[in-house]
Amino acid sequence: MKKKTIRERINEILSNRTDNPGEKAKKEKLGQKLKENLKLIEDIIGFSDDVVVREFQLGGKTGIEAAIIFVDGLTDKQVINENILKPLLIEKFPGDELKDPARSDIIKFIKDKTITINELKIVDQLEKVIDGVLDGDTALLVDGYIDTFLLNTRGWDKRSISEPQSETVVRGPRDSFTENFRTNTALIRRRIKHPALRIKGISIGKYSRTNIAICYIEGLTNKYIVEEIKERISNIDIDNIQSSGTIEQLIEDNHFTPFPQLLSTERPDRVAAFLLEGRVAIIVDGTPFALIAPITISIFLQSAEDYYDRFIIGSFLRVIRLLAIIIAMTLPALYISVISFHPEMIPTQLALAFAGGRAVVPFPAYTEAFIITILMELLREASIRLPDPVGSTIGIVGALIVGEAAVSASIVSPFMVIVVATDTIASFAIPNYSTAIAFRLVKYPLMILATIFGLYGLVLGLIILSIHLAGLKSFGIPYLTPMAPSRLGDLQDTVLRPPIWSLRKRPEHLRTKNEKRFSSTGDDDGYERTR
Amino acid sequence: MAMKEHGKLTERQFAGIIANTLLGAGTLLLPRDITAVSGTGAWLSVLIGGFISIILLLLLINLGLRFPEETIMEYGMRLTNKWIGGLIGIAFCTYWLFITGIIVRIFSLMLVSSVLLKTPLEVIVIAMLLTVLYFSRSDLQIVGRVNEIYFVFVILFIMYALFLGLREINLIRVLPLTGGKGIMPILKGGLKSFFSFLGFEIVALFIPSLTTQKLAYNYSLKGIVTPLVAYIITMIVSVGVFGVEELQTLVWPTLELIKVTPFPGLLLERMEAVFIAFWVVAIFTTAANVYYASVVGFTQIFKLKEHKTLTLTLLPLAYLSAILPDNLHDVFEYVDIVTKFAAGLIITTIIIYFAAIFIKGRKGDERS
Amino acid sequence: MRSRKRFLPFLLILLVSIILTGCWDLKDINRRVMVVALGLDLAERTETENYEYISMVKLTAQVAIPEKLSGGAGQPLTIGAEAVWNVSAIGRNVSMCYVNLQQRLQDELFLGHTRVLVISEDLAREGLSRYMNFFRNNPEFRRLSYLLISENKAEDLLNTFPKTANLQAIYLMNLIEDEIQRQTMPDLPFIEIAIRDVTSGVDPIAVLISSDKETGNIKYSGLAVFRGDRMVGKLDVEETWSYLQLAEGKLSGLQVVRDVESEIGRLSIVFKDLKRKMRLVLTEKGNFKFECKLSFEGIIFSQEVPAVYTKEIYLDQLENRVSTEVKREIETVFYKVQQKYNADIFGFGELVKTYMPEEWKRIEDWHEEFKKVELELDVETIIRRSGMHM
Repeated sequence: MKKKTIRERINEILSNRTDNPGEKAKKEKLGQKLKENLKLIEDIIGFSDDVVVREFQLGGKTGIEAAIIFVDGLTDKQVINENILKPLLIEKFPGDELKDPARSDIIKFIKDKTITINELKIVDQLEKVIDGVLDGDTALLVDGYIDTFLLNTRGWDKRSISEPQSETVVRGPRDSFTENFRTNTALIRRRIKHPALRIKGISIGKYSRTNIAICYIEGLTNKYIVEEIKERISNIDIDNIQSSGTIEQLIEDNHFTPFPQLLSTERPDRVAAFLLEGRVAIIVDGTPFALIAPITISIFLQSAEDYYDRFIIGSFLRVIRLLAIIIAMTLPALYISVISFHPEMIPTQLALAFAGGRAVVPFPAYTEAFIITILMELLREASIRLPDPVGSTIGIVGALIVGEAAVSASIVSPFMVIVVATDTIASFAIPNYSTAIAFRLVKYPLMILATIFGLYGLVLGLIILSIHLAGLKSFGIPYLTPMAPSRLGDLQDTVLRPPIWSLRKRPEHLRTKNEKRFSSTGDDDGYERTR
Repeated sequence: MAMKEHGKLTERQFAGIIANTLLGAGTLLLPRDITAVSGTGAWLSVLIGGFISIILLLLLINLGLRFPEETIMEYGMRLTNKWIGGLIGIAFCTYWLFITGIIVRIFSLMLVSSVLLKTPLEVIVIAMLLTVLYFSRSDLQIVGRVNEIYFVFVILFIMYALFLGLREINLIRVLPLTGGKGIMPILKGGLKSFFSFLGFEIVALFIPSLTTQKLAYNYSLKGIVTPLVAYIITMIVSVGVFGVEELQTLVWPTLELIKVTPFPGLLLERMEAVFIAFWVVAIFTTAANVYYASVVGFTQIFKLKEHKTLTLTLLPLAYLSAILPDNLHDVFEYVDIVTKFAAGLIITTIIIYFAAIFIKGRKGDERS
Repeated sequence: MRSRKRFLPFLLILLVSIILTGCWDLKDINRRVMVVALGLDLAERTETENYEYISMVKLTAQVAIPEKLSGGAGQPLTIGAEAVWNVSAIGRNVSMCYVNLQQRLQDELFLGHTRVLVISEDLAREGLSRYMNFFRNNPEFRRLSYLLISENKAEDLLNTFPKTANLQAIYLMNLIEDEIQRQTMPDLPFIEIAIRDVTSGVDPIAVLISSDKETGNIKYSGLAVFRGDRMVGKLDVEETWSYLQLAEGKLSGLQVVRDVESEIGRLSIVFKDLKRKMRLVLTEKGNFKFECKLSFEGIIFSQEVPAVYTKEIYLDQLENRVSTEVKREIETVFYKVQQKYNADIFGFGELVKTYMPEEWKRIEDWHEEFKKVELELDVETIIRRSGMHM
């Protein structure tokens, strides 16, 4: 016997290890014998406890053996009992006529006459059977046949539709997506009942096999965008997709930026609106967040509610949000600039008040600013982790007490606390969470630049930021559209929200095929709907 | 050249590039410079300078439209021969590089004397140049977009500031409108005012990338008339508020103008820091655009593959030209020299190239 | 992408090295000394200076004490004398004083919030431009701060604390701004005076303030008239009103005239509107004549005698009387300034420069010409309402 070196031995072990069940499923084949097939399947699935194998005989006098395999927890057992087992057991299968070569009729008979399941497939590949069972189907194997039924018996515990956690509105629909794929696609379907709505499914992720759907409106959405998205998603080569965030990072144009290039939303009404603008939605099984692409920066100013209220109110709210973004980004840096570099900018009495407030503080303004801003970040992170009832209270109390204590201990001046509080509140006013974080992040380099050069530094920082933003693209659409390149038609819907009757055209930059939202003469297919 | 594909610049971006490049250092210095020569007729000088620039610009565009796929560097070398075209190209690029430095220097001087008194000049210059560097590595599309955004901001702010300044005008000081000294001083002032218009020639590099070339004339006019109007108003307001004699004593007249304009009582009082903030943007666009033109120009002359490699290598040269003048007086001298050089260069180039076209009998290429 | 990989670390190093070297201009607001007002006086010559000098000046800086001012919940408000500290230093010129002053203070002097610059009359009579350049060169100094001439010493003015003043400098500033709004004082920020100094054809003027340290009273007492950069005379408050009406078309304060009917009581008229038309004419004699037409619109502010002015004829007579009075007063002021002080504070020279540039070139000494200027004044008054009481 040749002595195997350690390396060879290790290789051997490893190569055995890599022969995982998934590979096996691809290699092996179903046979005609029931018992063998069952053994094969159980072997691959590994005799897991929750996989149930029920062997039985078909009803009547045929004596043919069959078995169903399903996963307890993924299936609706009621359906299995009533619609699979019962008909199969009760049905009087034609007997002796079938004792002949044309036995494939059994399968046909079951399919045509017996099984009362609304969705079924007949497959003959082992891999598909395994996949199907793990998806929640029930596999029905009949002795003597390779053909196997995959019967849709999916049903599991799921969270019911509730209010959106992160995008609450005052006046507007309150349903939000759940983790269940079908529920989500249904929510969209209910809002766009037009036949042109397409929901195309793909399965991504080597181990997680997550279902992903790309939704768009046929005949409206620019097909290049759809193609691009489809291509990028199919190119994903990863083993685990648990959230839409992972998908987002894998298909976005530019990774080296804090700014999101896809929008994630919990709300089906927003998804419907975006789809009708000419964008594409991506639904991911297991996440209540849908992704929208392509997007531009003006979308981040919008909240769903803008369109549900009157346009003056909508515009006002948008302006407030724009202000919020500016404040969240620049306020601490402005404070540092004014206090340390340009005290002549503020009215004299305010300047004196500032000077008085800061007189007992041992640190320079920038240290103050950094200390308390970072403290705020810590508080924020902490309050997310705490369980609900305790969390918000501690957040507020913590902030107040820490602020008060810090001021009394003369670590920071009272104005700094006001500045930071305003800043934090402003960042909460930004409707989209990812954007809010992005701007919060931008705040820090701006503060550093302000510390070195004052207002000059702040402006240079903003210039650099704008250059960066100008270079971002979301699936081929420049991020800063409609401001640059400017498309005047779209400009009306950025900072201000124009009246509904003025939103006649879909956004130009999406190059949709059907430009008009309203049709006074009727669409091609005769459907007339307003937005 | 793969770099200059068509359709990368919209018309508005084109106009924005012109306007932004012009609005910069000139406004800071010129009210004093020109009024020294032409008195209250300074605005006329600016107008004359503007007209000359417009004519030159239109000529350049006409020239460029005859070669819709090539920039001035490229068709220059093709039209004449490699050496003449190359020499002209290098002259342009070097002058652009030099201007970048001078403009950054002027602005940094202003910062150092008014706001950031203790910061070393070099540091301010470096900070600005680094930002310019970051910008110059971008593609033309990004250049276009950034210019487009800033154009609106800068123009709005200038108009606002000037509008407020109008309230402070003492009309008597503005008259007599023609300066009362005759036509010669006004013409001389016109030449000096040319400095504020320098930079418009960089469009010769961007014409091939314009989406709709037919609109080039249209939008370039829009792009150059806006700064022209702004300059004239600035001149009138400066003279109106201070009077010609006082203007001579002010080093930074426009800055002083903001210092004496009371802004309606908002939270912030002394708005000159804000003014300077906006001016950073205006200067940045000037310096960045011109530097970009220089880099891209050199890239095309030496037929390199992409322009990013040169951005870093040329930066020290820009820095050197910023450091070169010893004091303010030197700066003015350099400004003078550069203005004359640029005027000469542009006019000569136009003449040479048009002559070449005439001689060779080419009517120009068709756009593919 | 290779170039990118090499580029980023280089950029980072450059950035970090800049950051590490420090922030040069960073000076926190509480490490700066907030000078809210400045005063300039002539100082007694001391014998310690041994070589040539013209005169010594004393710079007084009114420094706000922020700790006392910021108050806070429940603490008594510090006002007046305790809120500020007046420090002085003596030197050969303003710059020397400034440096000397800095040597006494722990924080850096900051002129960005200086609202008022007070110059004593003595200094003004010696000549201002010598001292002005310091302020014009300084980027911090507000161009819009007010330059005042103090009849007493500037230092004394800064040490006078009116009882309702939170911060003395702010008090002064508010006083001035209010008067300007009421159109009883010309708007004379520092820059205006500087411009007038430099521009030929107009002479500077400055607001005159008098103060009484004992009682804490500060009073606006008129205008200081300059010829070139030297102060040559004063106008009291009512004369200033006339100046305002003529030179700037401002409404000014009350006009008191005798009652038309009885000739005993007096009426006070307040003007609500003024339209001014000026015309420059070159006379045959070769000097300049300014034709000025003033149209006033006024109301009766108060009357001592219960005469009734609803009758047309009384109103007409009243209007005439007012016009005559106003004309007389303005002419008096004009001649006083023209002959006695020989200072063109009205800006007639500028008018000549503007409308008759060739003539202007001819003139060598405007002040001489100014003496020969004629003023033709035409005043018209309309009195509209008479208040709440008949």
